[in-house]
Amino acid sequence: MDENDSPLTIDIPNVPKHLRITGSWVNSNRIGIYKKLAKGSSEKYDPTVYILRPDIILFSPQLRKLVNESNGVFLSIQKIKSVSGDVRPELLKHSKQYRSILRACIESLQDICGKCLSDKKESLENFLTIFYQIECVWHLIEILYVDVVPGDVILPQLLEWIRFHFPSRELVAVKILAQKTIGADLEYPNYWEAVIGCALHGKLDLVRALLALHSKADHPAFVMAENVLKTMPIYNVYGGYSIDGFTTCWKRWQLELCSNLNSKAFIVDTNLEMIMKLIAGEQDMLWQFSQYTDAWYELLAAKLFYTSPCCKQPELSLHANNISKRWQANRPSDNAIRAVMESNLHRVIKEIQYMGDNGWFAAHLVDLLYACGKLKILDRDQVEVSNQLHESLILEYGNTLMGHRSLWQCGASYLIHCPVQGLARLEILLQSLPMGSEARVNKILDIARDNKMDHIVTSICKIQGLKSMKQGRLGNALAWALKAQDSGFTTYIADQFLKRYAEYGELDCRDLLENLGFCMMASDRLTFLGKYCEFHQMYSIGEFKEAASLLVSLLVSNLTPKYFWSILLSDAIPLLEAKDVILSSSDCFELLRCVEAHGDDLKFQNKIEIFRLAVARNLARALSLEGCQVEH
Amino acid sequence: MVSVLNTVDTGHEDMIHDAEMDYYGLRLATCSSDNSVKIFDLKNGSQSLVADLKGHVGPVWQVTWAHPKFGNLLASCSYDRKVIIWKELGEWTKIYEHNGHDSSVNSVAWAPHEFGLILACGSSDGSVSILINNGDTWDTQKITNAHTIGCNAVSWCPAIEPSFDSSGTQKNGPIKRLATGGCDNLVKIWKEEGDRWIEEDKLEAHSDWVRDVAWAPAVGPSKAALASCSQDRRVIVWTSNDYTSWTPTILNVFDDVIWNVSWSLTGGILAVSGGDNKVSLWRENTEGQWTCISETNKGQGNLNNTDQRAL
Repeated sequence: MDENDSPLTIDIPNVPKHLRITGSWVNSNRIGIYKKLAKGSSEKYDPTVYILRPDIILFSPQLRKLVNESNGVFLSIQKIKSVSGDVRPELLKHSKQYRSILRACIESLQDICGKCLSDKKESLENFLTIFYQIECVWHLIEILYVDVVPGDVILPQLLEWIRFHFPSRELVAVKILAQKTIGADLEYPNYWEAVIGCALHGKLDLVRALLALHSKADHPAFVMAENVLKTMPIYNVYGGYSIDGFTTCWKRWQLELCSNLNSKAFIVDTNLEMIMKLIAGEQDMLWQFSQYTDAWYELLAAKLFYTSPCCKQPELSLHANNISKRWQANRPSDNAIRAVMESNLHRVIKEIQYMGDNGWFAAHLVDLLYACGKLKILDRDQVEVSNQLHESLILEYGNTLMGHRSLWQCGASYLIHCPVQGLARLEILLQSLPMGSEARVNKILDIARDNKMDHIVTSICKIQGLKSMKQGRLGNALAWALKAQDSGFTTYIADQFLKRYAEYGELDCRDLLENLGFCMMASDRLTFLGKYCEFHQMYSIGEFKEAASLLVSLLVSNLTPKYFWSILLSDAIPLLEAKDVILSSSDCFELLRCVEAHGDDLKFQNKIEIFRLAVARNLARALSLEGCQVEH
Repeated sequence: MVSVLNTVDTGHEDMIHDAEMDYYGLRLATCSSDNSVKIFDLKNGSQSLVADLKGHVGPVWQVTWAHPKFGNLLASCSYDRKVIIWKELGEWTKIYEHNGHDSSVNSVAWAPHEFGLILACGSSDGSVSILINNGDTWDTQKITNAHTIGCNAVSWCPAIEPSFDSSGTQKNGPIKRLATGGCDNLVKIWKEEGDRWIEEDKLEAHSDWVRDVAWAPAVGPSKAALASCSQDRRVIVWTSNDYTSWTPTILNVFDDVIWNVSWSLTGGILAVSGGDNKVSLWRENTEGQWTCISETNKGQGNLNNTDQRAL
């Protein structure tokens, strides 16, 4: 937008001229920089890699509350957007909530600032300035864009805004008034400053009360001043008369005041006379009093109050321009306020991005205005780009938060509400989050599942599974593999269980394996493992019949891995030799078939004779038993 | 403001050619003219050397991390014509050595993880080889004569669901695409068809060797974007809606040769490193113009404001 923006430049220390540097992106918000030596240099090479990261003030613990609470308001606004009907009053409430979060943040910063040491103080004071200015601009935007001003006469709201943000002189006035000392002008050196301050803010009741405490309060000039102030017409939309009617009345009052000034009615006191000139709308006096104001818009409010009290929003721009130009106001907040008064939202958004708050203000404000239907931004070709702008600011903000260890969930909630790019970005960023504890991984998985990113769930579970494998936690690895629904990986882990059993004769994680349930179907190898485990379970509680039938079904299942045949066959021996006949003759034939097909394993060679003998003996017993049963 | 988060003293005895962070930004791999590859753990601003990998017999140009779902895997390429794949199996070990090139291998890049464990390598012999993992073995595909005089850079197109891909009439998921840059001043786009790679596009705009190409991450609309940089001092961003017609936008003409271009994780911001000792960050605003938002150099600078502005 503005071609004159000069890019920020950052120095890398100790890089001599002949070095060449290279940078590449590291993560969502970091850049790695390293140096290359130019050819023919004889100097010693410095093999350092620098990793840079932008300083994000929102990551400071003091601002954590602001980030989290404003996230709540943002999410609540997203819900309103889908509600039909007049949502303006609701949105105004939300705007106020944002501001109260800002006020709370400012107050807590002031608290901490008072207590802390000087080295931290500087950055805290910087935060204070930033958020103070944001609140001030936000308040004005709320008045002009979010709130509905009755009759479109904006002065009352503007004065309120000014009084709210520049309370110091009114506080002095209240302090003086509280003492009720006659001759307050003699007692308090800042008496007149307080009177002028109140006059500039249009607090006429305070001005009158202060003048009544003046040592010459009984003098006709002061009595006349009191009368002038008391009779000054103040426009009120509910006052019962039209703007024209009011203007006639006000002009008449002003004319009378001018004639009194011309007849030198207030000459007894210079300050009094100056104040009366201000009230009569004299431009020069306004500028003389500018020393008693802290910002150009304070002066603007005074000018409107005494020269065009019925000013409507479209006329505001001209007045604002005149005053701010003469004031030479140039802070980002000055420019933003001027742009707000000029109804140039495009410029407002540009200016508030310079405020150093990492996009917090721009994202939340633009979202609010968008919800209000007030965001109409055209690009240079007069094409409306409000949707894109709205999304891009929220994307950036969400993106920024995703770069933080614990604020990433908050960041994700912003990305989810960006219809065009949000989910694609979330997908990339979710995968790049360092995993850490299981609780953290589950949080990442929850967000991925909620947004139907199944392949991310799969990939994260797989990574966790691999990690557990590396740590030798097979049970954990299996649980992750099942969550990943990756049958190849599940097979691999089931294999590891069986191999360990083959080597050490012990099954790990029995409780997990015995309770696999339906998950057992994830892979053939796991089915085998689960069933084999069940066989052990039955055997150990003495259910030999059950155990034997499981064993036979495993033998005929064709699921047995090659290295496991010798174990299965060996497991059959004690069952064959049991006191009761457990295995039927047909079971025995199966066993013989299996030992023919798979009994050639070296590990089984010393058992093969025993096995054949056991089968033969069992077959004999089984046949005679079965023969008897047939006879009966 | 931007601050230095880590400074890693790598202890390399000669020039570092590449430094890459792993997927999570927790580990750093570096490679150097001293023939070695080193891996560092970065935690809380401190660094510890995890591995010093020796296997190459010439300067190592580039290193690249595979997706963590394949385990901790790193590929490196070198002047010694070799590509080595390293894996952490308790200790870091060489699990595969690829000797399919007749000259220096300049660039390596892992394919998007959705495609499986696949590595592309570009070499000074002008060819590009593609290594495909099949469990314990690696299959090789080759694009011979990809660039006359040599290929300097390879970059994969992100895996895009066919619904986004207007030319995607294939039913077998996303199409594999590769961009390469070479000494013939060209950027080429390659597409896999069956088990062959065919030249889909030839992008002509640079007037000197292309030094780096980088495919932008896919976020949002179905527009593909590719950045290329060259010794002609220009950085060009190429965009396309259909992978057949590409529109070049000259991001900038710089004062010196541009060696590297690098996209931020979610696209949007491009880091450009040039021979003038500057790394600058560029982003496209809502009006489609590229502007420099920040710059890192060795000269005098002012530290004001680092907001990434959208307007």
